[in-house]
Amino acid sequence: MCLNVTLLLNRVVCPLPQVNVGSCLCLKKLQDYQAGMELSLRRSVLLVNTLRQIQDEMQSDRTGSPDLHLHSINPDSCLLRDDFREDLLVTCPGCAVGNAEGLSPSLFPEFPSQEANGSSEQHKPLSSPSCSAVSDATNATGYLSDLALDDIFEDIDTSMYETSDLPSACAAGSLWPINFYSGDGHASLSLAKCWWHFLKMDLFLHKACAESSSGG
Amino acid sequence: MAGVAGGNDFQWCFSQVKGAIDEDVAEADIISTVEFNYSGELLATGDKGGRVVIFQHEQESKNRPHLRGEYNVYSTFQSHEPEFDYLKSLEIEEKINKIRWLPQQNAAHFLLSTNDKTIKLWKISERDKRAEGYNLKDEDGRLRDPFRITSLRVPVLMPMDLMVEASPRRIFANAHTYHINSISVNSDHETYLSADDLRINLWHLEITDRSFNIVDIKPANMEELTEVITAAECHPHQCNVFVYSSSKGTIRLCDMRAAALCDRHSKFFEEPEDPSSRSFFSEIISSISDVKFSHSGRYMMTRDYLSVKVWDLNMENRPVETYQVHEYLRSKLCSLYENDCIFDKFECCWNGSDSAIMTGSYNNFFRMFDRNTRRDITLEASRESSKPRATLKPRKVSTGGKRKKDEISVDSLDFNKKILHTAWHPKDNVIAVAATNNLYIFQDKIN
Repeated sequence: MCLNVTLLLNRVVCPLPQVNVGSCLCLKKLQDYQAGMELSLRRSVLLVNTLRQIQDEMQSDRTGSPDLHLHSINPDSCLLRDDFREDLLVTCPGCAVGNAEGLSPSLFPEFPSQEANGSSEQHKPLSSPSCSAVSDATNATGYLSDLALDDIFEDIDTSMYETSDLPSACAAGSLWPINFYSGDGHASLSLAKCWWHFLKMDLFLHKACAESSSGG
Repeated sequence: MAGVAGGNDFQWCFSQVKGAIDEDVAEADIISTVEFNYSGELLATGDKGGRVVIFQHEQESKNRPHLRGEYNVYSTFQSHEPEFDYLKSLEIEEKINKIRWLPQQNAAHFLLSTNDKTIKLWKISERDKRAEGYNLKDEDGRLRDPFRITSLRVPVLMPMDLMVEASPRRIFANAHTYHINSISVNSDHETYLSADDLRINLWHLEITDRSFNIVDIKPANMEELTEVITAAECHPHQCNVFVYSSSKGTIRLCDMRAAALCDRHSKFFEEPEDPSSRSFFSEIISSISDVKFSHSGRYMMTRDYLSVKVWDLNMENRPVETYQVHEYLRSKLCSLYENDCIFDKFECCWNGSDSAIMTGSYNNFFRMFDRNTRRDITLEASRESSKPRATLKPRKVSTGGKRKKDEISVDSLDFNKKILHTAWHPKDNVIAVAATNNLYIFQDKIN
């Protein structure tokens, strides 16, 4: 199940496979960070900047900008593609990679907006996790052109999953842990909101993974 | 000094290794900083357990003429203890982030040590005499009954076994909200700076209850934060000049004469990014982990994840020299990101004459670059080659294609063995290399 969720997230959140891998990894690291595993402002700033960069890429993609420099002469793109399955394993411990073959987008009727905005072609990469970056990027250009990220995530009901294991700062909509005193409270930026949605989704994924692995 | 190794110059050979041989390494024993004093006679290490160990160079022994002198333990003391900040509900680690020696003024030695929050000034002094024959207390220190004192005597100093004492002289606390990453003693020998992620403070060595905030990059809204201070250092000769590096790969040089708050830099050193090598990890790998002025004060050296750069203070738009430390890792950045190694903070150091530089890498490898000949060498800190006077064999990592004999493939590098901290003797070709819980000392062997 978790693979399905991850892949769907992949399609909904990030039309670019590299972007998704990067964002999932960033989120995991940020979550680890907030759980108290690491307390380094430098590290979290670098991670958040990477997330910002990913969001910029997404925005430039949504506006149809041809400036897909992540795909240009990028020595890491190949690696990122190759490591995509690995990333799924990292995100979802306990899940068999083989599950990827049996994906069905119909398991997720919670994404009506996807239907409304996407073409039928958009479902194809769901069954091929190790997709080609170039072809995907081409297919996905403008994928989320009319779709607000907030709307996507509001369609997902995560209320059944407790969020008590996340710090209160997180619940307040801030990426920054509580020990960083901003002095002016937690300003609710749209970007921060967006990240919070990412985090919620990531938590959702982890819970889903735990359930699927415990349930056999 | 002519070169870093090989040829007609000299070769590096093993001298000593300190620390336990055990495979199981206690977290507290991991060395977190290494620093020679100004003369090179003393070598200090700090560890994650908050301890400072000082080694002293001992002159050649007549019994062992092949040894040019060894570093032996001179003093060990607990510099910092773990603490808990109840207001912020945060644990404060005892780990020693940095040690800086003060220039020696008298028989005693002084050093500054810091953990994430508190800087301490330690005095290390020798005692080989003790006073005997006090009037008001007896030999074991207990006060005597005044009614039993019938005559006065003059206390005398009696010789005793040499004892090295470390005593805390000043504690500079409560001035840093974020983690202290650097301390640097100023060339006026009276002040020093301390830098955390967002601020730099200037202290007087005698005054603990106030410091001047000279740089503050904290935005009013923390969610707008995109950059942190990663290292800072005072100029070796001009006490008004200091530099600090950032997580965006830039270095700012500030002049304290210009304003009390140096938020506006005097010089801004930045190399334009090569668009062809841009990737997700560009910003992370360009983050500067260390900055060091050359002894002459003309240059500074910065270390980022893959390279080390030498900048002329008179040229801001690009470094004068760039040395690749482990370029073969560029294709491994994704895995290095996953295993968190990409956030490792490698330090760098100059040799005494500024003609060579040294920095660490993975697999217990460390690199040296000769600035004159542009030759470089990779050496390994390993117990296998730790026989007295054994010459260090240059190592080579194969970068694709067919692996030659004696080469190690990139895939077999051990990323858990990393050399983050190194120090070069200020006058001689003696280097100290911290490899996890072991301290290796190597020296030159003239051919």
